[in-house]
Parts: sequence; structure tokens; C-alpha cells
Amino acid sequence: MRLPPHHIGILLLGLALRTPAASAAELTVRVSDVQGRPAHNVVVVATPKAAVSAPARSAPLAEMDQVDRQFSPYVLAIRTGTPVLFANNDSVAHQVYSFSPPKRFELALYHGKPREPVVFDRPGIVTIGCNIHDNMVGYLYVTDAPWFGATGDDGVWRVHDLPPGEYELQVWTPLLPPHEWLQTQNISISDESTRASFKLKRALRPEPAPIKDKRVRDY
Amino acid sequence: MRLSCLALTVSMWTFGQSALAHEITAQIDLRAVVVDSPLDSFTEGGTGQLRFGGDDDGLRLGAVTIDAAGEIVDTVRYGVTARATGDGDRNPIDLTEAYLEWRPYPSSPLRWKTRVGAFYAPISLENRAVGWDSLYSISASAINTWMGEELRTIGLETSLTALGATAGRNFDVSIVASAYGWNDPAGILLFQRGWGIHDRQTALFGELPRPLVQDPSIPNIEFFDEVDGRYGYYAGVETKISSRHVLRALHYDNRGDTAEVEAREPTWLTRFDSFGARIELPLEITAIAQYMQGDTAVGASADGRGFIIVDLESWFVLLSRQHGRHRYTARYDRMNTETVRGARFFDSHQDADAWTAAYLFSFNDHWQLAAEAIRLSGSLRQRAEIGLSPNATERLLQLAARYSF
Ligand SMILES: [Cu+2]
Repeated sequence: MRLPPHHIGILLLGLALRTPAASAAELTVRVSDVQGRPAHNVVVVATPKAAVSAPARSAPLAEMDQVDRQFSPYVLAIRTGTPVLFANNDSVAHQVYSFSPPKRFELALYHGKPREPVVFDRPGIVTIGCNIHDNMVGYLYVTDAPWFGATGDDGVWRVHDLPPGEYELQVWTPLLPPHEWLQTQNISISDESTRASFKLKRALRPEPAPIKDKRVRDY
Repeated sequence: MRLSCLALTVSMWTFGQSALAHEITAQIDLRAVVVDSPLDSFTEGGTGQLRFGGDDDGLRLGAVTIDAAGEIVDTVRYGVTARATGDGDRNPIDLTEAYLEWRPYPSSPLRWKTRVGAFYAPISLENRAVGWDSLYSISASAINTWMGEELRTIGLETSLTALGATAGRNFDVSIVASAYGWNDPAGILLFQRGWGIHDRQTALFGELPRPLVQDPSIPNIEFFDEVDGRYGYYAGVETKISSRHVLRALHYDNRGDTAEVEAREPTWLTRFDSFGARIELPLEITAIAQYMQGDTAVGASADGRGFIIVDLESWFVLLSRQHGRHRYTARYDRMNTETVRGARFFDSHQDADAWTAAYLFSFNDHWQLAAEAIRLSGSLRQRAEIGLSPNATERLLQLAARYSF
């Protein structure tokens, strides 16, 4: 893989910033659905209300795979400016595209690694599709916030290096009706570890299913 | 027909261009068959509605399928399927589908797709595998068996889909419309033999023996022919929910000119409405139901509706469960035809139902074993024309070994 020089610089910067700041707190965010079950693949974003000494972090190259005619992960949160490689791990070719306003692009049919990553240089929600397989849907959540991620299978997202202060926490998932995609709450971070939880108003819709059976040909 | 030849030529040419963008699959399907039936199969000119009849016990060729798909330019793809069924059709191997598909990249939530060539109309919710085979059993339901026998879109189809993902909807809605020719004989087999249940697809240049021979000089039916110079159409809607559940409705009208009888096959006016739903349930259980209702008519009449009109109706319910490498399927089919005009000249009347149970075992990506039992029982009045009892029960047990690469 060939990276342009400024990306290598970003990669190094990213490594240098791994060491936590002098006074940093841990934040644990737990997201559950209406029945209290852990909600996974939910994007969590922590935005400071006042200027804090946020690390001038920029994420290294991110990857969104294509496995069994579906995007993996279904939802990927990235920092604005992050290049994303849409690797294809299927035996069939894909044509990845998006017409979302923050980033319009089309990747011609390919197997394996595409030639170039796609740089997402504007914040917003980017819906990803495949021009051959209409069942394939993925989302990129592109944010300017320095702290973000997605919940794991346990419905938890954890961050270790938050400077104390006032924050707005936001969760986002496309598996709810659009007017409920976003939920926010304010939280005050002290030196100790802090917990926050979100309870979504309903059960999440199922994620689009991968097609594991290679015999299936109707797209 | 010329279009499909063109598609084949174009795709053969592109094979050499790049290995990357082409996917070629070949499949051999060998059968061990045990039949309990008083009838000969329609494939031998009988009035049996299964693929194998009373004296067909033994080893048989299921099918050899060769399927190729790939890109010609970035947004234009081709699909070609050729099939051999080993039952003495005119060509030992023949095309079942050959088309070009144009899929421009969506630049808004509206996605547009256009196919030209010879292909299946979007009706079947079972025939999802390579070579338009059913994913759930060996033999398709009566409705989709008929699709494979007599219906092929030879022409143009275009569809427009409102993609829901960007707007936060978990469903896509599509409308589809098509204009086609070379489908004037469609209806003749249903008229003579009634609905059937099997996996044999009529090839584009294929023929079948006539169940009821009127003119011994033309013992075979030729299916995909243009007689009246009128194009037919279909129009439909589809909703896909969470990329899982599918709902479909389609209206089909081949606009046949029933006055056009001076040809090898007279023109049949065939019209129907088709509805279908495929729902994915927990525990990897799939439920499919389809319903079809319409009529087919032949011969000149003052009102143009046809001298003989036969109503056709069929529905089925299928339940299938995938359990690791095993799949279990059960299906019930209901089949009816009824002559509503001109019955005193020819009375086509079928009243039958069928149970199908199938077990499929995918050994690996290459080998699959399939076992299927069918019991088709009911009456077909036409059998009386050739001195047979209208009532019959056909039972078939078949074991298929399929190797694909
Ligand atoms: Cu794809």
C-alpha cells in the first residue's frame, strides 16, 4: 500500500498522542434499546462545550470491508479528513458508491484492495452502497469531534483520555426511524471515571443481512 | 432472438478482456429418480405434470448449467446462462437467458436499471440460485415452473428504485416495466397439460412434444416466437424491507392478437396478475407465498377476447429452514384452470394440488446433495381426450448430486 507523505505524518502523530494527558478521566457510555438489551454499532460522540486541550488527533487510515455481500462494519465513525480503504474480501466484485452530500464518489468494479482510499473531508453522514448488490448498505459517520467511536456487542463505548469539563454526548444509529437517529445529553467530566447511559426509545431495526450462501444470485 | 445471439457474441468476446470482472460457474446435476405414476411425463409428450413419468426410474441428467456474468464497461454487465437437460430437446445445450444490464451509478436516492435481451420477469421468489434454480428445493412451485416453461422476457425491462437508506427508511420501493416480443405461444402448455411442478426450463430455442397432438406434422411446441407483431408488456412494484423481506405485485399482458392463427403456433392472449411475499423469520426460517390469477385465450372472436378462454389460478406456500449446511423445505401448491368460453370445443380443466418436501445438504462450496419428494394429485379433464382417466396421482422421489465450479 502506498500512502501520500502527509498521511504517514498523520499516522506518526496519531501514535505520539497515545500517551494520555496529565489529568484525564475515563468515560464509559452504555447504550441499550427499549428492552434494556445492549445496542451495538451505535456511534457515540463526545463534544466539549468549551475549548479544552483536545489532542490535535487525526485518525490513521480506516477500513470498511466487504464480506458476504455486505459492508463490515455496518457503521464506521471517523474523524473528518480520514482516508478510508474499502477492501473487498469477497470472491465477487463490488462497485462502491455514495451520493451523500458530504462525499460523493464511485469506485469502479474491483476485487481485493482498491487502488486508492477515499478521503472524507467534510463532516456528516455518508451512506455507502454497492452498484451491483442493492442489498448492501453501510454508513460512515464523519465528525469533527475529537472523541468518538461505536459501541461493541456489550453496548459499551469507553474513552480514557477526556480532559475534565462539560461535554455534550451524542449517540447516533441508522437503525431507528430518522427523527430518532440522534440523541444527546450533557455530562460533566471530573477527574474520576464517569458513566453515562442512553436508553433508546424502541428496539433497533435489524441490520441488513450478509448473503453467506454463494448460490444466491438475485441481487 | 437476435438480441440474445448478440449478447452471447458480445460476452464471448469480453471473456478475453479481463479475468477479474467475469464470474463463470458451471454446474452438473445428476439424479437418481424413483417414480410412481400412471402417466408419461410431459417431456415425452404425456400429460404427466412432473418431469419424470411412470417408466423413468433410474439415473437421469438433472441439468448441466453454464453461467457467465461480468462487466463489459463499468456500468454495463452481461449475464448468459446455457443449460442442457438431456431429454432430447432440439439443441443438446441451449441458452435460457442472455442479456445486457445497464446500471448507472445512482446520483440521487433514485436508482435506475435497464436490461435488454432474454431473461426472466421478476416474479419468482424461489428461483434465486445460479441458472435460475430454486434455492429451496429441486423443483419450483407450479407458478414458477410455468415461468420457466413458457415465459421469457425477450425485449427490454427498466426499473426505478427509491433507495431508502439515505432517508433513514429501512425499505426500498421499486417500479418495473417491460416491453417484449417473441412470447405469442405462451399459454399453450398450460392450456393442454395444466400446471406442472419440476425444474426444467425451456431454452430460448427449445421445443417440447405436444401433450395433445392435433396436427402430426408439427408434434412439438416451439415457445419463443413472434407471430402477431404486437409487443407485450408487464409492470410491477416491489418493496424490500431491511434487505430481507420482499413484497411483489406484477401485471402481465402479452397483448396477443387471438385472430392470428395462421402460424406454427397460434397466438395466445395471456394476461395475469402475480403477487408474492418472501419473509425471513427467526431461526433462519424463510416463508414464501405467491399467487397468480389470469387467463389465456386463443382463436378469433368478435370481441377480440378469444374463441376459447381459460382462467388460470395457482398459489403456493413454502416454509424453509436453513440449519448450518442443511436446508429443510416444505411446500403446498394449489393449481386450477377452467375454460370459461368455448368449452364445448375444447375444455381445459385442471383441479390439483401438490405437496413437496426437500432436503438440501451443502457439503462445501462445490458439492450439494438434494433429496425431494413430490406428490401431485388431482384431475386434468384433457386426459379424457386421449382415453385416460382425468384423475391421477403422481409421486416422485429424486436424489440429486450437484457439483459446481
Ligand atoms: Cu457489491
